Amino acid sequence: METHKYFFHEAHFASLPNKSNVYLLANLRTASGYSKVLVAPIKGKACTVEYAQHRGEFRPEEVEFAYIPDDAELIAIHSFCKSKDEGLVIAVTLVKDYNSVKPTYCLNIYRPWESGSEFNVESISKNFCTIELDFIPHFIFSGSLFNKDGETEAMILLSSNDNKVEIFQEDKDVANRWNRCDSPDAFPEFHSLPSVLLWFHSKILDGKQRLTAVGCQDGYLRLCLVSLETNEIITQWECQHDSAITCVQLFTERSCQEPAASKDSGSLEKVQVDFNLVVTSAMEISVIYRNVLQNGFTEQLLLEDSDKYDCTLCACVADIDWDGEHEILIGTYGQELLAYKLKAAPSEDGSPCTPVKPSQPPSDQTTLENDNVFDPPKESQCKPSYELIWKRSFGHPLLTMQYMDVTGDGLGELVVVSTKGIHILQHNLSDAADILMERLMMQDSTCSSLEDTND
Amino acid sequence: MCCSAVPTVGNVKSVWPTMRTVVFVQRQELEFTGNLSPNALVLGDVDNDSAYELVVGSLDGDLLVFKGEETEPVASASGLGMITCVGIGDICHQGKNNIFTMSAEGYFYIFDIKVCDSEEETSKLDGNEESKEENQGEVKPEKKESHRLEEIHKQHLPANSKVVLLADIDLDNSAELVVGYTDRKVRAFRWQTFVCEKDGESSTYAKLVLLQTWVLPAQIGSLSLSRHSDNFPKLVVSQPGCNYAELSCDWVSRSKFKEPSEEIKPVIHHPITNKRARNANISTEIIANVSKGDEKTQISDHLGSDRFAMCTLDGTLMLIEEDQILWSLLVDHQLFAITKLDIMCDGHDEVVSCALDGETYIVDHNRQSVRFHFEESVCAFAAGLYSMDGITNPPCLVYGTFNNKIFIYWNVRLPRISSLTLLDVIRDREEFKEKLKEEGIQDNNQEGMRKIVQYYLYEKPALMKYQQKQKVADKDLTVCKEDQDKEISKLTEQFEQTKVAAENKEEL
Repeated sequence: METHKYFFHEAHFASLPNKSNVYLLANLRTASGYSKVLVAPIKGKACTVEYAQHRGEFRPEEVEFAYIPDDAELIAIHSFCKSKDEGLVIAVTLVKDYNSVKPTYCLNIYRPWESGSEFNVESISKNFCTIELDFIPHFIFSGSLFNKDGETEAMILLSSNDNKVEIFQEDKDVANRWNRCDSPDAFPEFHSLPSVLLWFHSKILDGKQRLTAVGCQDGYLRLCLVSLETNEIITQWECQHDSAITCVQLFTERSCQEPAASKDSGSLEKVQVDFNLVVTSAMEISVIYRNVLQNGFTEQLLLEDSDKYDCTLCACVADIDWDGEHEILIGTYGQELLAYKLKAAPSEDGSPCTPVKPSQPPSDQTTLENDNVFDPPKESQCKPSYELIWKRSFGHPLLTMQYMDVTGDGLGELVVVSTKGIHILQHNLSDAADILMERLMMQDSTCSSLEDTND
Repeated sequence: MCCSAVPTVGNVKSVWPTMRTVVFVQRQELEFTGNLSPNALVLGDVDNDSAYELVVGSLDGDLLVFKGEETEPVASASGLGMITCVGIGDICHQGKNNIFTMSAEGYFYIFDIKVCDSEEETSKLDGNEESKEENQGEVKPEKKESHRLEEIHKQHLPANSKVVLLADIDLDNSAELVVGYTDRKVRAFRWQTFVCEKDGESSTYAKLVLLQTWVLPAQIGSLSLSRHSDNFPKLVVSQPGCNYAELSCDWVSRSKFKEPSEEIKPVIHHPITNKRARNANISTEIIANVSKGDEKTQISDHLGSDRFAMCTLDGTLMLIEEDQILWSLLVDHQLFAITKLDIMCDGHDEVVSCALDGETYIVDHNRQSVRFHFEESVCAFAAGLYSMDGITNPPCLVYGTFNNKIFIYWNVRLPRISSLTLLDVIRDREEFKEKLKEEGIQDNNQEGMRKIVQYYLYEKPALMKYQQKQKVADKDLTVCKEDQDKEISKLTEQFEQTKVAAENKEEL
């Protein structure tokens, strides 16, 4: 019991006065790179959690957004950087007079963060723009488009109850005035959806293409590859699940884009883009579609037991064991957090599929040292699978989560929002320290060259 | 770093206390009818199998024993009066633990717990007991229960008991029973065996005999055993207003006379917080002998002074050493119970205090604290060890509620009390220091350290894998090329051969 292996322990819990929802978590990245958590309850004041370095403790703070009446209910919060050298934007959707015959839906856009300055709460109240909506907003996200001059332009996307996605962009002349963009072709991947869009996730592929995954309320799943130059769909895959898609996340198997490797040989780059898609669905088992760019929705892997704990509401992709490969975290309404890891399944003759190792190394770090050990071509010979490697129970249903560095130590934390509040889960620090020390030692002998290329 | 700047903006309020909060999850819900006295919820090893159990006594006179993962009591007894206190310990000096209960009316019972295997054994055991005639059907082991409680002693002691303590208060290597009463009295009893000669036959019987009575100036909160710096036991009793009194045993100095003394008993009052206490009459609880850890391993002569903690109903929590306040916390909750528990399993005890509304504070010697909110009103609280699997005894918190339920939060072990970051952990490691020197990063450059951590934990392994993959791909490519070359040379060879052959043919 004493030596029980754990990935995360609860470093802090901040309770919320009211229930939150799946859209009310935002990651406020500071200029210095680490994050502040912003979580809002449906009713009442939002809360930020940050780590106070000098006092060594997590500090929750109440944040009051201007122009949100007391009786309003929040629907969704999203934060994004408009561009690299500009400050942060926080977009909030809310409903006023919820119990009346004609409730009003609003989108409020705040600019709390000027470039180069720290998070200034006071400016939240001063610098904002509010837009009344004639539809019920659901998911909120930001995207960017190339405008006519070839510059990227940040936009706010809202999915609406009439199965559309509405786009808002900033007025070119007046800062922080946002207008509805009526161009129907701005994002071709959202055309003629069968039901309300609940979640989408997109990735830009080498600056020329955009890969977007869209999940809808009736279980419809769409994946589009859009050319950024022509703004047209190159390829589109579709698939139907039996229940509402609660979350979609695109990810690569490796936890980092290959910054060093791709520089050396451009020819290999295209082969290595193997995007996977994790899909959680309300009533069904969560699945992973492997290598979607080549296979579409054909190569499906199941996350075993992920349907055993009530609705699955959120998924998170993070490298939680620091081996360079992404793990999948699934949060359920049944108060369970599940972690899955890709494992190569045993091949048909019974021998383990993982490449034959001369002497089984006990940990992944030693694996890295030995060039012969890692042998990817063999992987394709057998079917890999995702295995449940860790599980943690909570006292309350889980709504949403994100992996971010709240403590500012370079190590990520998992921020989980449950119906009761914000849980900040910290890694097993002694494990992390041991691995880090091991790698620092190893570095001196084997891979100093690698370090140079990266810098 | 820069984020540490405290915003002084008006519309930001730290309404959430900054104390670290945790949520414990693994819990067991036990059904229980009736009401509980705060001192009638006890954790201990009742059946001497070194796995800890939970014993609960109700105001209706029911005694229940819970063990392991069972949600039903494994043994029970009833009709024990209005149970105010329950205790577990070697009260009979037999080298094993028994359960004892004390009722407000003064009824005192001692129970032995037995596994019921068969009817045969039950009757055999009954026959062996001396107190058979006293066993008037108060113990009703039901068929479904795997254990039964066997009453081995019953005695009528002075009524109005409030709190009990079983401890060796006079250093005679056997435990005495100390009872605190609601009428401001404390009495100490000893288990004594008597030989009775009747009709030429000698038989032995045992009972509790009164050693001493102390009368205190104010209401008694709780009793605890501390020690003097020379390791001599020091019995302490909490007094209102966050004070305590020391009770000294008069029989210790006067050798081993067991007759009750009629002299005025020395009660040494220790005023701690006359000025500090918000209310001088507020009820106070005390827990002594809060372990400082490593000192346990030292020779007993150099134990140093004892630390004890006190809490009050108006929300003061403090740690005291030699009547000096080491720290004190003021909270907005009514603290009614205080215990010590080594919640990190590192040898240091932490102070655990529970409020009536379920707010629980876990504080270590350095005032680092963690909160846990149990979302119900609490009538009795215990922190200690409880075994779910029958082998290990992880720390646990037990809450008795007003809604006929008892909750055991088992395995509440915390890795640490205060919040830490990875940088705090690795800052002093040699490898890391070397790396910093190599990279020319100052000790206070958090951004630089952060980048190193990020690179080695997240980016490097991925990069390594790419590199390896690329190597393999390159190798494949070269292999392909070689194959191709071979093929081409082969073909050319063949072609040459056929050509030569053709030429030969032509020539022919």
